[in-house]
Amino acid sequence: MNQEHTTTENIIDYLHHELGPEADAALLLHLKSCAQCAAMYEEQARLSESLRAFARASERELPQGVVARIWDAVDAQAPQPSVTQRIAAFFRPAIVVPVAAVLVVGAFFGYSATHHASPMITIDAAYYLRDHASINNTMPFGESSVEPTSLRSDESASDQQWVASTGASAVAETR
Amino acid sequence: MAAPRKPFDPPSPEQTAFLERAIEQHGKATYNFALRLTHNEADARDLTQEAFIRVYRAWRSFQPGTSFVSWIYRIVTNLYRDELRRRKGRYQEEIPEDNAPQEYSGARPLAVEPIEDLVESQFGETMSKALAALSPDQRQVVVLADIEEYSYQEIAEIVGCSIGTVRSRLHRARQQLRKLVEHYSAKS
Ligand SMILES: [Zn+2]
Repeated sequence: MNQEHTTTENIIDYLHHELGPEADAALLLHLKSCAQCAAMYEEQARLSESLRAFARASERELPQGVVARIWDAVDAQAPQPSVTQRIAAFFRPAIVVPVAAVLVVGAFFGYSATHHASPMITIDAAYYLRDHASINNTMPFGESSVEPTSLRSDESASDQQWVASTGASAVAETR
Repeated sequence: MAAPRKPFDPPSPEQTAFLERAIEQHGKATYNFALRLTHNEADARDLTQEAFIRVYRAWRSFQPGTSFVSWIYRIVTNLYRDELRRRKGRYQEEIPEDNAPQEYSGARPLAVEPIEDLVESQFGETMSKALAALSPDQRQVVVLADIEEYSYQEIAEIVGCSIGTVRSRLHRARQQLRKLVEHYSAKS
């Protein structure tokens, strides 16, 4: 096979199995017959191997402190007990009198009514999109805007659906 | 990171179990990925912590059947990019255009306690320094392509850029890395 020498770029793509089948086969054949390109390949392959060896040698365990901090943060973010739960807790040791029952029922419906208001859902959706811009944002380093891209990304649609359905189930729960 | 008020979204046992499993199965890999990206232990710990908190909050948006690791790597990548942007005042990193010539500046982006000392051998030290001297996006693509062994397509999805960008960035990063390895091994 009499063909021109290959490029470093081709070698790198070849090394990462990113050439098409024909180009891959042609380069393999060329490497067998051309010492110059074979040396170039060897050098690139060595670099990849060095990187993997470095990664193996420098691998760390996940520090336990990190795990603890994750759970602390998650616990801190857990919602406060609802009004009904707090009232129920307040009255739990007491003798249940009709007045208390009326209070609880009244508070319950008052609480439900606020949850039926649609602004709750839009506030939550806005919060979600803002807070999760990092997750939704699929733009590379260097793009200036975070929020608009999150609104453009494919995932934001499903996230909004998720928020909407979560909102709906929360409303259903209060009924 | 401030914990904003969230009106509802009571934690379910499934959500807690999801996080528990995620940390157990992928915590170490995520931490090591963050460590290679940031080249700094304190930053890697913060990134890992924040990434799993995002995973917990957004657990329903994870699609079963897709790669969890790719998902959390994407979260880590985006958090890291945001963090770099926040610290821009301290670290003047010019995001290189793909066709712009790149020069080794010697700047180490976020390093406070570099991980060179973690790797005792001379080779490890050389490689560690060389990787640290790459730009963050070059380092990222090298880590994903050669250490994590992702395809260009997968890297494009994690990083959020085109396959062409992945390819050219990797080519340049490796050229740069070879020079840096030579530079540091000649020095030591
Ligand atoms: Zn040749």
